[in-house]
Amino acid sequence: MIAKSEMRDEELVGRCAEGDNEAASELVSRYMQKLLQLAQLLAPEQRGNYEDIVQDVFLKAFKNIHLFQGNASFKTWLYAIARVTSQDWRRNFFRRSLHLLSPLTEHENEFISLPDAEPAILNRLATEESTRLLRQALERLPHKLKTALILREWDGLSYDEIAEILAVPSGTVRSRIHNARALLAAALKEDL
Amino acid sequence: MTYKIDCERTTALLSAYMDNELHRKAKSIVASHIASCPACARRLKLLTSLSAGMAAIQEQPLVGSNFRDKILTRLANYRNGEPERKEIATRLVPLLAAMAACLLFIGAGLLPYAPAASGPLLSLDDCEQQILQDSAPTHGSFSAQAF
Repeated sequence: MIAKSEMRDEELVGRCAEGDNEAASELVSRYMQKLLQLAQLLAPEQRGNYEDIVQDVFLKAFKNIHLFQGNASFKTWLYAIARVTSQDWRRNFFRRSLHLLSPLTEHENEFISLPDAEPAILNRLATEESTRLLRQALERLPHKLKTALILREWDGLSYDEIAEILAVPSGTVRSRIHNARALLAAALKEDL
Repeated sequence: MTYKIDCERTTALLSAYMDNELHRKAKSIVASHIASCPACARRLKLLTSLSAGMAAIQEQPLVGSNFRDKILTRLANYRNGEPERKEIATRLVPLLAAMAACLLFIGAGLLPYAPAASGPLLSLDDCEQQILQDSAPTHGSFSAQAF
């Protein structure tokens, strides 16, 4: 018999739908940290509520697990629930100022040029100091760009998967990721 | 037929190229440009270095020791048919609103019988005396307090 920890997500989902608590527990263990990270990206002003958001995400997912049809991966499906749940939390938070829901429209339609890759930047990226600089530059990115980049870099998701999670066209994901990288490179260049 | 693109267009596609998100044809055009253009090759190296840097700074958020248990408890409660805190609140709000409305209605009905806002409670005899005084003609009489 295969251990739960070695099962694929979709297999665990099937068991979870039949009421298997251990399968649910394994899915929670796999995704709780990732979802916390995603909640921080999707609802940055909800500091202190991230764990509650993630609890809501899991509960919604388990309540509706019978609706999961496997068209997308379980991860994409779960992340899409996280996006909707985070929006709900933000909507409640900004009930009286809904325009704040999309405060970062800059860089959405513009194309940011990648700076010339001078040897100095490449050398800088090879140093230990680059870790600190990169972390600082990442913090300063507009959060829509940062979210798309992190889903790509840290979660390894494809552009189509990110598009499905964020409910935007794939081309938008492509330009967000490109612009995020261009801004990071520009920030490192500035710091030289 | 061999297609060629310039550095500007290549630069715009480099990020997607590195992520293997270009269609086969576009990918091959970009690849052949990079092979013959040192500047674009350096830009690609910059992007791959950034990507490696991103992997190096990946953070795992701290999770409370009982966080997993909290989630599983909520799930177990749901499966056992116990209402959520939010659901309890949702059910209580209309009930409390209805009770508040009833109290207001009863309160408004009792208002004409309410005692004066200040001063001691008058006996029936005092009330009668007060009514007689209020209805007495005031022509020609002055109250000292008016001045």
